[in-house]
Amino acid sequence: MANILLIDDEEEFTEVLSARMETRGFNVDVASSGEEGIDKAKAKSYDAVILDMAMPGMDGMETLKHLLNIRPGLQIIMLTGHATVNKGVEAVKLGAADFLEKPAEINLLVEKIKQAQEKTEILFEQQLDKKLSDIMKKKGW
Amino acid sequence: MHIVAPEDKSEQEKLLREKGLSFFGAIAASVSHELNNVNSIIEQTAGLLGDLLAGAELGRPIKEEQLQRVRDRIEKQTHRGTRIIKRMNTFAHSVDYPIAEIEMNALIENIISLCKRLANLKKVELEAEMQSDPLSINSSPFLIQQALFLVMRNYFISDLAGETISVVLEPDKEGIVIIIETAAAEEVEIEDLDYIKLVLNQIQGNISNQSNSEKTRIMLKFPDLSH
Repeated sequence: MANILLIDDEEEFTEVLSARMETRGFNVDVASSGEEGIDKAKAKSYDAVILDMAMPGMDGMETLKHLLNIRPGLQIIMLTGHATVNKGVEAVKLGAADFLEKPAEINLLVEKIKQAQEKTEILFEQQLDKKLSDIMKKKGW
Repeated sequence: MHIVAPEDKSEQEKLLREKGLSFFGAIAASVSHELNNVNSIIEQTAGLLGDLLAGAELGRPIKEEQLQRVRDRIEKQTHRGTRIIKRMNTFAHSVDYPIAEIEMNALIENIISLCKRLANLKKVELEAEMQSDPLSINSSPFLIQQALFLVMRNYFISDLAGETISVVLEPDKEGIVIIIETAAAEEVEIEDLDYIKLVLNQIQGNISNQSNSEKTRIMLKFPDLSH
């Protein structure tokens, strides 16, 4: 079961979206600010993070940079408003996996999470391969 | 961005039109973003209801409290949306007449409500302290709101996270004063002071900085133009 972190300051939005995602088989943790999201990502490994762009204090873009800094390769899907679609593109250039315009359609979001999960598994396998290869080189096998 | 107000009258008018539109756009953008959040919650709630119905078809009965929560959430968000639309509608109509008789409590309360999201994004609290009695003057509602917004925006972009900005409306012998104050002693630099003065000149208003080492305090004065 995939572990998802949902970061958005609109608490009613996270409440309903997380309930809907849980019925689709995801484990969902919620954070209402960038700072809280970073703390949760430090403490636990997530298959994907859904991150709102416009939040009080630390905004989505800044949170994205911190998350990628502490967890390189973390699959982050940005949620943008109409006016912040350009920022979504900018976020992808910075390393976000994808972005979705609010209001996000659940099936599309689930599809993007599954793609993110697959990327996480591929990255994990690549890292594992590299580690094995390094060990083999070191030991001269 | 620092703007030097031009001396030429037609250039001044051009700048006032451009910056006026920019102010209108900033408020409209913030409101549309907030309405999009309301819409997102309603859409997800409708989706949740769809999930419950799909579950019922598969033999998972819907509990009464689940339906009650869905109903309450939709009601809460539609009320929120209605409040936002009313505020935006009042603001949009403030450009109907260049000079009008304005009830200042209502005007300031409305623009403060519209600016709360922008303040909140900077983790700043915005509160309005109005008069208990009606306080009316003849002036330009749009230019008063623009001047107030431009001053407040400088507070928002200063590093005042966690602070409260109070906007106090008081009567004055010539009209009204609006005091924008915060207990933070940090320097709030008014970047576009020349342009604010140009706006104020159109309605014989003025701005004074009364900040000291303990607080930031800027006062805007607007005379009653019917006098």
